[in-house]
Amino acid sequence: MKKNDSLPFWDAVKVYYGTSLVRIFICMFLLPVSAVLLFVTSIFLMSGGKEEALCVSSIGVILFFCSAYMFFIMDVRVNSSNLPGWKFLKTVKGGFDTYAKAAVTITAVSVLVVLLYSLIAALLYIADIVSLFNTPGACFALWISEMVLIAVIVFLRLIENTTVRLLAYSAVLFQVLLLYLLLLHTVKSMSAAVWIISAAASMLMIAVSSKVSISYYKKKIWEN
Amino acid sequence: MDTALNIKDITKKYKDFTLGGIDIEIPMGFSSALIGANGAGKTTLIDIICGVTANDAGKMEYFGKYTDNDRSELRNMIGYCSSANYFPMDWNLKKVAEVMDVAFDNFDRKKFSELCDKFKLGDPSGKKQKKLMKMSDGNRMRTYLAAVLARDTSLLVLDEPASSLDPLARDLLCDMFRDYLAEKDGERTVIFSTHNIADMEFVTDHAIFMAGGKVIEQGFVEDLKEKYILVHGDASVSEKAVPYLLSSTSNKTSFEGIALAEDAEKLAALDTAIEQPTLQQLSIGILRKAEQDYEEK
Repeated sequence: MKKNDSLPFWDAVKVYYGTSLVRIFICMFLLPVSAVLLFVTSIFLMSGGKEEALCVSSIGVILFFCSAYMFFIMDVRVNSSNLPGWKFLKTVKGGFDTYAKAAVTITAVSVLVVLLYSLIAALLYIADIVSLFNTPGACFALWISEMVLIAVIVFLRLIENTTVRLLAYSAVLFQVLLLYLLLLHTVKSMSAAVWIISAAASMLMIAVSSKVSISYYKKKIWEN
Repeated sequence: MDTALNIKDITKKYKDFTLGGIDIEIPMGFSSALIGANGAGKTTLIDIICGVTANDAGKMEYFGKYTDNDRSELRNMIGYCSSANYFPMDWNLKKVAEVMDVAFDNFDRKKFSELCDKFKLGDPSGKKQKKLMKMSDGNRMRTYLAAVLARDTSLLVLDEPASSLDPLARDLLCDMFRDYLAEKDGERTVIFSTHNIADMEFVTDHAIFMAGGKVIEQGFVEDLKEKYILVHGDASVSEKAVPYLLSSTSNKTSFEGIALAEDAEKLAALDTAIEQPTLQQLSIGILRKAEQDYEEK
């Protein structure tokens, strides 16, 4: 009987990132939020305290960009065979199973972060504290665009060279940003059912891209 | 004698380099050195042994019962360390200890602290911690070695462990190899690669010479020293001596070379001096011959 040397997913993340899953989640959530707060504060101060100077839709764009690069950087760390530490990671307990758990967990954390942004925006809107987006449906636009982006990040793991992967990602990022802006304009004309189905479909896209990239990664990169 | 590792016809093909077929038997309970010039294939072979790189053909048998399909068992039994960038550069000693504790079942934090102290790296539980990227090459290598030696393994596989260490640290490493081998009554084995055997000669029991992706000679050091002789003599007799020499160097006044011990009498008759070579001299002679053979092809 083969010995079971599988690690739980939180330990797999610890091995690949050197820190706990909780810290990673907090970091991935707070850094883009900090960027947004810095942006808002800067605009507010530069305009001499005029609230109307702040363009609400720009909050979504800043959050989109900052979280986009945050997710990419975190994904690169677990998926780069040309970064320091690669040989160590190939020999740890669990082997490829540990890698797969770390990769899937970081993708799941990215999805959870976006979900949290959407929930917080929705709660702030419902409680009439502040409206972070032009319309409630703008949350859906952000959600769908971010899910497409995460699916793209996962697919780009098939590119082994980190520099090429970053260049490809930057090129795709602007296309997804256009999608986000397009969706913002179509929010009012679409029913809630369409938005919900689209949101669910975007999550399915991530699951499929994750499965495909992990299988490909095992054959072409890990076992080579 | 028990075998720690039996390698049969291992091959790995790259675009401009082919390793193999490699056939080696690593004896259990001894320290084996993989000796070869840069690009000989030592790192590739070590990576294949430890499961870092996959081989294209061939088989390996570990400790007489495990094969390369038994990686889940072998991961805890093999202590592997590469020569460069083994850990992510933003880690410090504390992080190394935390991750090693999770990544392997047999990591001993207390032993890691003791080794860090011996290697003068500092305290892994201390408040101020230097990241690996801020350390010198030598201290980084000491960190890698402390981490791997703090595990209770059966086979230690190290890629150029001495290359960035100062003479005192190399001496300390040799002592640690001896302690490691002595701890489990001959059930532990060390394999390390080097392109400069002079520093590790006194801890090498068994040597494997590699050139151009192939094994060109292997055996216990004592046996190799009886198989070969070191010959030196006057330049005037070098022409007569050269046919018996496997490789040689010469200048206007003298020559020196390696020959087979069976030719000792014939060489002695030419008024040459014959002595037992050191492993360093043997390495130079054997690798030089491999280089000459390659150039002739």
